[in-house]
Amino acid sequence: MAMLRAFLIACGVWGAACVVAQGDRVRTVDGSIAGEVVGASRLGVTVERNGTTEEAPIGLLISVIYSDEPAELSQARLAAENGAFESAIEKLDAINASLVTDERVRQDLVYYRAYCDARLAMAGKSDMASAARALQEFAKENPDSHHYYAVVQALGDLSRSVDRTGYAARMYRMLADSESAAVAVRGGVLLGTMLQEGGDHRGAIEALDAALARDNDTAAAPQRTQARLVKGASLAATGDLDEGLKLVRGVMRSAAADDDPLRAETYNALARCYLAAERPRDALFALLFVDTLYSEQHEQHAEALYRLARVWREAGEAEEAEAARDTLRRRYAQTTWARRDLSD
Amino acid sequence: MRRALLPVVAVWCGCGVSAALEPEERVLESLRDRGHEALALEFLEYCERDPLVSEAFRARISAERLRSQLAIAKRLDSAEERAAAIDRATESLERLAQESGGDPGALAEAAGQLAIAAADESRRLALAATALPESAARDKQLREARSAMDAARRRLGGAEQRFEEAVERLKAAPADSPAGRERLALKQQLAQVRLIAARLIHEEGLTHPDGSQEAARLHKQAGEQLAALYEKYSKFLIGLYAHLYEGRCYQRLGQTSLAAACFEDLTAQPANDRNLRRVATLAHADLASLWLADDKPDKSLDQPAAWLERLPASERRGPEAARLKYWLGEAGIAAADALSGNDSAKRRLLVEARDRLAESATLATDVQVDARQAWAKAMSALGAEPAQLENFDQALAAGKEAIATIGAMRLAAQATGADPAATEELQQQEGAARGDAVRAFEEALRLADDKTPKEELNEARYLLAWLLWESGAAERAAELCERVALDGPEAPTAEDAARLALAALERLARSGDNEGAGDRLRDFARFVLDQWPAESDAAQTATTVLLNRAIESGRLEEAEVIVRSASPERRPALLLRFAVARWERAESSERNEVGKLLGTAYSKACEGGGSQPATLATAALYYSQFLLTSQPNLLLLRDDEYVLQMLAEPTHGPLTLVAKGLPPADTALFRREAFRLEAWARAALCQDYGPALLRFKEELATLSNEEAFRAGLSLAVALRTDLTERREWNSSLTATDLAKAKDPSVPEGCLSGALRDVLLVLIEWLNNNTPDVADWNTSVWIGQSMTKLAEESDQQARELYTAAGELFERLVERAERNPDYAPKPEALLAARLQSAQCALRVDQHDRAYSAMVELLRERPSMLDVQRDAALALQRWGKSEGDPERLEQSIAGAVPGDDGKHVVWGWSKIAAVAGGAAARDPKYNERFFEAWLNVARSRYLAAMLAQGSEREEQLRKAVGTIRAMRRQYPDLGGPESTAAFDSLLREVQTALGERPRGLAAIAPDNGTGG
Repeated sequence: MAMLRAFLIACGVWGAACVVAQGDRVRTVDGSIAGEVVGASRLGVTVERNGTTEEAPIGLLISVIYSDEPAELSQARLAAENGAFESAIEKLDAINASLVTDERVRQDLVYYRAYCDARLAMAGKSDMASAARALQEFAKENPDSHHYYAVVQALGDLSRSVDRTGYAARMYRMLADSESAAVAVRGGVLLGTMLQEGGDHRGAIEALDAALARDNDTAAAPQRTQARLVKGASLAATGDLDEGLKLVRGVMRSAAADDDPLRAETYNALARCYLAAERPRDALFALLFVDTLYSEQHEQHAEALYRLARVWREAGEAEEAEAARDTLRRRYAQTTWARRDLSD
Repeated sequence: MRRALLPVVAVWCGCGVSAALEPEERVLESLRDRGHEALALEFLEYCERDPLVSEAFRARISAERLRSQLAIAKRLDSAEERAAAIDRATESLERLAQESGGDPGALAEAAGQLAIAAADESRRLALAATALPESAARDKQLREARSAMDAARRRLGGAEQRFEEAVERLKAAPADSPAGRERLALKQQLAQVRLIAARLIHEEGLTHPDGSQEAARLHKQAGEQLAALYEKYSKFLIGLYAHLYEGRCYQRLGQTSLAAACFEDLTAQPANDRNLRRVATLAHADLASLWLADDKPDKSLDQPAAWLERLPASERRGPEAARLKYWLGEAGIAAADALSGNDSAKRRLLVEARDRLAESATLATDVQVDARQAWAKAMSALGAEPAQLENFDQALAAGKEAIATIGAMRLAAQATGADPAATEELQQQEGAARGDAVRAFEEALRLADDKTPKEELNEARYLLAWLLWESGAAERAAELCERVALDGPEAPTAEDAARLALAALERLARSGDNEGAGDRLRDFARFVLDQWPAESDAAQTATTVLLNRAIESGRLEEAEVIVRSASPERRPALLLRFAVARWERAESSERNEVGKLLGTAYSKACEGGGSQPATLATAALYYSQFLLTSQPNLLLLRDDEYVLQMLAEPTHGPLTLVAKGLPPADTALFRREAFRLEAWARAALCQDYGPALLRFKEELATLSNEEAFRAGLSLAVALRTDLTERREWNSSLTATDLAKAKDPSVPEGCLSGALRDVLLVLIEWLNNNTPDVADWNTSVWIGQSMTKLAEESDQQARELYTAAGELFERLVERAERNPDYAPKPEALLAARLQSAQCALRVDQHDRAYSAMVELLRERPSMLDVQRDAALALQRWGKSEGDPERLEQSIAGAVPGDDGKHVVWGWSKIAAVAGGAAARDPKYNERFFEAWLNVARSRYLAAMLAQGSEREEQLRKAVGTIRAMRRQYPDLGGPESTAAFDSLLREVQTALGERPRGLAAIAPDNGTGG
């Protein structure tokens, strides 16, 4: 016992993990896996622990935290996940990269900087060209990174934000062709949404059907739900409102009572169906659900406010329209909805 | 009777708040809270169709529909229609209750709303009746009102019973459960129904003559019920209101002490909440009225006046404050009456009373009519100027006549043409008429009373304001017009008055003399927007004023809101103004976003019309700046063609306005920028940029030397940045990118040519005119830009190197004269080197070499300088046919103090670079280059020699190459290998051998074939 105690003391603090490499942590939607990240690819990471390996597929992966990474990287990652991209960049700036010896950590530094720069560029707060170049360079240099698809998506989103839809479509199709069902369905949803916004509803349905036809992987379940919600509006726009509503209501029925994000999203999807079918009054009511009940779901609330401003105006309620705009501008100035509102 | 209040009173007003349990209920309440009752009805229909709606809510839909119908009915204008709607709704309620039972809580709520609506109607009837003069008709209407009040009370009783039953049904529910919350909501409404029922008794008492037995009976009954309610709900706001009305009942009964106790209970409570302050304000008003009735006006003016002053500004304008101001005004008049002989104190009281009454009279409250009458009394007591005009009509007519005289004088003045004496006389007459008009309208306002038609009164105000505005009295003009406008858009002069008020307030705000004028202007403009339709002139003026104000004050967020709220027709023009303002203030990090906004605004303004050409031209200029500075890449491709189209747009393009000399192109800055952008865009497109550049240069001639130089420099910087960005982008493209159907590379156009032209102009400027305008860094930047262009240029390299060399040389000379000129010693060293390098490039070997030797004496280990010095010797030797210099280029030259060569020569360079390359591969290139030049100098020396010496040198050259090939088979890479190969072929030719190059030397054994 004394020997064991001495060994533990030699390794570090009582109770701390002795083998440093086993201190890596992989966060997934189901929890987290501690161990040593021994492999990574576009499709996920491999974690070794006590001689056995475990795969964290990309569809379930949230982030990878390395045991020897600087604290600022952990903070930057968290900030980036929460949309605080400027703060993330500040944290990354505080890291002396020359002191980082772990290649995996170096790669993360490059990735998070490029990713945050891209998101800031989309908000008009950073240079679009250098952000795009950094993403392209990362993808070129790190084709086997677990960040690869996130980078491809960011490139697509960046292009879409400046209406370069052709290039964006190429990026989203790259996702849609992925071996990972979760990534593929996400690609289909992004492509479908973009096509839908451009008025190409048949193209959108085709992209979404292709996504829904992918293998029914658990990791892809949330994306499949998204696909249904998006498809509803395109069905409505092509004359099949009933089928569109059926699809969206099906999602609502299966949503848990406390799943506010999904419920908010579903009401917005209902509104899109009604708008596509030129029933603005019904759309107004669906949007009011989001405005009244789910104002804490920021992205969804921003979308609802954007649409409410238009529906209210169409209904001759200029004051309500202005109030919706005002809230959108004050609370969600950084969202694409606020920017779209300004440029409309 | 005086009861202590709990220190904390919950704001619990019982105003129909329902325990919104279901999502649909919350949406419904949200619609109702925002006054959308008709929409609420539609929402209920939507819910009936929606399969997602819960069964619990579905059961409430009928009752909720009833509530909405009732709310809509209450807004009907006609009393008969309202009464009929309430009756219909009551029938529906009863039917619903009998048919299905429905949800008891919802039915109770509907019944409560119905009863309250009936109570409101009965009150209206009573108020209308009491306003009539004593007559049989009045008595009849009063009887009808009382009857309606009785009926309403019965309805309130019925609702109360339903609420009690509904509450009872839920009594077992835990407080924090949905049912518990519903119970609380029902209890709140129950309290409200009880309060209204008790108040209605008091108000019925008011329909009887004061002091009558029936009045006393009713006030007593109401007082008892209200006291009971206060006991029950004293912790809640509703209880405080009960106490207030209880006090009023005592006041009517002549029980002054009891009444005062009630009011003082309320005024003594902590009032840290707006709702609580409202009750307190009403209590202060009632106290003021109580002391006044008790002939104690000074007491009325004491605490209540202090309370009014302490109220937040927004609450001082509210209806509760209006009531308090009225009673303070009455008290002020009474207090002034009581004074004898003290004129100044009396006048002060009256002025204060007049002002309070005037403010009170502007709000529609139950004391508004009384306030107006009292105001007239105060005005009369203040004793205005002796009236020459006897009534309002006379004064108004006199004022109008005077205005007609003013118009006539003006016309006559125009007709007199250039006769100054006649013009002056007419102007004097106009001035006199103006004075008469002002006096007449002032008199008219003084003589106006409550019988004066509002339209005529407002006309007098507006005309007076117009005269005052013209004479510069903006403050008073604004006040008068604000009052006219406050009467609403229907008044004939209201819109003109609103516009005049806006202009006057804007003038006051801009003058900066009037503190608070900006806020006042903003508030008034918002009022106008609220009252007038968006397309009206008044609303449009208000929008423009607000936008100007927001932009001038830098409140861009506010400006943005204004733009968004503008009518669709006006919006493009306002958005353009806003976008221009934002661009002028944008930080560099915002330029991308604001530039896009500017583009959107510009195109919308072009489509939508309504914008001034000057604004469009400014926007076009700024948007061109944005487009030209956006970096070329896959995502944001530049559209230089569009920039040129925009600049030359035939109606408002900046270049068009420049040609016409119209504003804003009448300023040099605008013209210069337009030409700068034109030259830039044309250069990028490889169009003839010369004329634009020439015009740009001509514009610079109007500036001071320094300004002109800076302006020229800005174009040079723009061109170089653009060029660099394009090159960086193109070099970052991969082979895959380039293989795409659409090549994503960006052409350089003629940017380098334009840059060269601009730089030459700048250097000429520096050389000939204004050497002081550029600091060290700027000059170095220009010199480096020139050398970079020279490196890329074949035909003009010599000219560019010469110009750059001269620039660096002058910099060095100047720095040597003035040690502070160069920012640091290293900068001077770099300039000396660059000067020497330029000299080398234009074959000024002597000058280049001398400069380098001087540098190497100070810093012998600068490898690049050693390399240039060896190169200078080699070229010098070659050009002058001097074998000694060629030898020195290999072995070094200029012995130093330590006996070693200051100039190393290629051999030592190779040795040093070889040693360094072992540590840092970047020295490899220098190493191979040095050995190549050892061989080349041998070859060049051979070409100057004859016979055996010639052959010996050639063999040495071959030997050097062979040795390198043997030791380093790849010879430092493909480019270096090609150079060795080429040199060897020349050597082989000179030796009379077949020029096989490196193929003649086998890398493995070096023996050759």
